[in-house]
Amino acid sequence: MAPCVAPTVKPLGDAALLVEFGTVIDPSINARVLAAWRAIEALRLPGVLDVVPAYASVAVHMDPALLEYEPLSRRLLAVCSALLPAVPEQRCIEVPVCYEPSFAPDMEELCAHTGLSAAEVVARHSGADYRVFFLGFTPGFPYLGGLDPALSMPRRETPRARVEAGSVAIGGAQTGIYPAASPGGWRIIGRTPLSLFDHGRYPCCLLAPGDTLRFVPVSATEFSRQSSGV
Amino acid sequence: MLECIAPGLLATIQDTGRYGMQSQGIGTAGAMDVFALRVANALLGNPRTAPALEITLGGAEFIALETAWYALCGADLGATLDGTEVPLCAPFRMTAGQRLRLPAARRGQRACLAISGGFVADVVFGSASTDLRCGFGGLLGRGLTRGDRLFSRGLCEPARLPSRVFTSLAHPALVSQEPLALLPGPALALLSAEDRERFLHESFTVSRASDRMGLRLEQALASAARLPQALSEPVAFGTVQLPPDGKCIVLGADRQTTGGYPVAGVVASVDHGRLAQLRPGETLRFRVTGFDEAHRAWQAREKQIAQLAIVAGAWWKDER
Repeated sequence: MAPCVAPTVKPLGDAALLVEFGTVIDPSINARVLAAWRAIEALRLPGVLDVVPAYASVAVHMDPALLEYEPLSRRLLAVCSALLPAVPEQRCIEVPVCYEPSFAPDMEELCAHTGLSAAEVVARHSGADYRVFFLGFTPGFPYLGGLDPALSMPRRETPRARVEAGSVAIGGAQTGIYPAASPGGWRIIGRTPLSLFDHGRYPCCLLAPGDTLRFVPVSATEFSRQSSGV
Repeated sequence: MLECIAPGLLATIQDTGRYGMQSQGIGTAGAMDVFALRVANALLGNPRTAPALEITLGGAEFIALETAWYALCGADLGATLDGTEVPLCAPFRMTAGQRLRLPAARRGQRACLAISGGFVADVVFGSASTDLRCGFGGLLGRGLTRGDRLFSRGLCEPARLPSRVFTSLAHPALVSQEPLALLPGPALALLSAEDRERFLHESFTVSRASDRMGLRLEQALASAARLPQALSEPVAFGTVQLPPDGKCIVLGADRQTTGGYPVAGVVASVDHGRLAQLRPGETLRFRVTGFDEAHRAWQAREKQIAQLAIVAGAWWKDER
């Protein structure tokens, strides 16, 4: 566990502040980030437009006309220094994944690279608990921690022009799920029938910062049953 | 009602942006030149966040299907109404059958066309801004195409005829040759001394690959490749990123919510409109500013808009 350092505040331009809790990816630091995110949102400060958590920092976006740097940074520091121990956020989301070849175009390459069989890759990938550190990059995309280092593999030299929505993939030491069809360079090893983001749904994102995520292997039949059922 | 005959390079409905959802990974979108949007809305007595059209570089044409008042701010795209030049930063009336043409950029590149009452648009998560990447907001989440018809949320007629053109507000973003004010970020001090000098004193050329996501600058800072890897953290409009190839990216309205590249700084809000108006091939420079100076400059700008809103608001008052 990373040492607990006092939070610091610095300007992010003249319309936002950044509260930093550390400089590494660590669940205990991120737990404080998420507690700060909720506490700052709960203040409902006038002029605050958006509060945005990441691995080890929280941004507070403001209407610059209403932003007074000194009083606000003091207020934020006071709030962030007096955070209660994070409430255990024990939402665990199970994400069904079909790892069968038709949904896993890069499985063979990943096996060759890691020296593992496809069955071992699936067992290791679905055998871990992942932490959703935060959502970013694209709506509903989770930055996950907890990938077995044995499964890491560099991204493709040339990204694919189109990766289907729901594709479960590995890029470097990270694993992730593509919320929408897009170009992408990660190694695709499966697909989930669940929709990670739908702007017409409430809540719009399947996952939330702080969630625990577990991949559950399903057959192609189960995949199509779940995709048509949604 | 306004019909699109030609959208030009890109015409989208935008407001002041979709704030409040970045923790879900949902970007703000919104007008690139929020200053132009707010001036256009103020001239019509609209709420400051009323949705308007952002028209890029020219080649756009519209026909009025009913009479309404409009205001055009931001870039000078050589606008004409049935062949007669339309002044920027003044309300003008388009009667049914008249054609508004915006042929080509003369200064700047993004014009804001507001309608009295604000355009009707899809409001998603509290904002009418078009999110082009995700395909929601504005008009079906896309840019305008030929034949699209746009409506006002509620047309107004002025109580007295608008009498003044706010020329002093016409091009604050366009006339200035001053360097862009930058609040320095952590990576600036980590560049080599030579690159830091270049960053603060040289001109950078805006690349053709620039769009609403960000301005890409052509000249490379070699020592960016040796910067320590940064953790992904939240970014803002105007954040200047230093990717390993050393070619700076200045983030715009369609930026992602977080970014992993080292941050050289953030362009001050008062200069965001200038970022919107810099065309590919044009150059920019940076100068370091402090938080207090940037804040004072912004408050002075706010005061200008507030004064304009009072004068222009009186034209529309009795109708409300």
